[in-house]
Amino acid sequence: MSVYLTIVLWLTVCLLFYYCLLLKRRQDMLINIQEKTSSNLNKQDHGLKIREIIPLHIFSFINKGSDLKHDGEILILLSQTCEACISVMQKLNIISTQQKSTNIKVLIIGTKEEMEDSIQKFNLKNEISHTDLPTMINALKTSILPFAYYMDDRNTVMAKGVVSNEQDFRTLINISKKTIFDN
Amino acid sequence: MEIGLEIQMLLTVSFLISGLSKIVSFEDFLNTLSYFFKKKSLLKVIGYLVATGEVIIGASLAIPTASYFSLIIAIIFLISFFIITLKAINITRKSSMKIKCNCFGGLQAEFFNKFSIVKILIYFLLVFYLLTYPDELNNYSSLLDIITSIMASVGVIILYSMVQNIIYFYERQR
Repeated sequence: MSVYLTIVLWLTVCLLFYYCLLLKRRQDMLINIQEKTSSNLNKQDHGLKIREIIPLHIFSFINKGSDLKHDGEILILLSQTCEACISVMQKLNIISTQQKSTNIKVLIIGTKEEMEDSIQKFNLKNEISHTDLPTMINALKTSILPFAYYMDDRNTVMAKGVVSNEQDFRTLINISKKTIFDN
Repeated sequence: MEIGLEIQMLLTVSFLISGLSKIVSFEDFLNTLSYFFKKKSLLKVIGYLVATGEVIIGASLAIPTASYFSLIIAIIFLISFFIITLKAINITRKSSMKIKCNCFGGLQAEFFNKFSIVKILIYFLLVFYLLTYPDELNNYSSLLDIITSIMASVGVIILYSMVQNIIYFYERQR
């Protein structure tokens, strides 16, 4: 390729690089605005109370999850029969990669076969367990799906609410930080 | 303008960048592989084989005595990439789950889709061209030719990565 063509190509690269920088700034601004405005999740008044301990010992989790050191953990309640839950399962690997400082545990409301099917279908690598609806209502005080608890290293609830996308996960983590700060 | 040299350098730079970026973001690459290989021990072996294999192909393509042989190895790699891409598209179709391609490691946010097939087919054509016209291999008259070709190839790959990232940005905005 002639030298001139190469120069034109690199000029285009520089222009596009500048455009990418502008996009990055725009994205950072949008995330900032979103974090400031959406500090709320639906159904935060629902489920176990803040500072209450989640009885995780009654569920036997399989899969090892990530080896990284975590700031906290999220327990997300999902089911194969709820559409919003399927959408969360589809994005769970990407969300887990984005939220590296948080370990995400999954509790499938359904049978063992449904749990295994979810692992297979969505290639889930998170720690995962299953339970039935009465146990969920009794132990976790909710029947809403997809519902998530953010807990500290002693399994106490720091934040909770309905989560259905990446932004909701970020909001849940932000609320938990406020809870830690308030106390 | 030597077409053969351009293609040779584009393949060299592509394989080198692809292999090195996979080594740099190895965890992400293993994550992509885990959709196709379930055994954890096998996963790491395949990961290292693919990443180092790409680096070796890239490097040996630039060596005149080894370039023809490395083109044949490149064909084997491209065939396996083609099969993996078909598998990934099949998974995406069944579960509507997006699988990150990691084709150039963490350089770009690319997911497996029909364009991945087109991309591999283009690489097939480039390799076949050089295999069919071996005289075009290592066909340069000056050092400037080589430097210009390398600069152009790096530019093309950076341009491609940036376009992919911009597309991904707008898809996420939707």
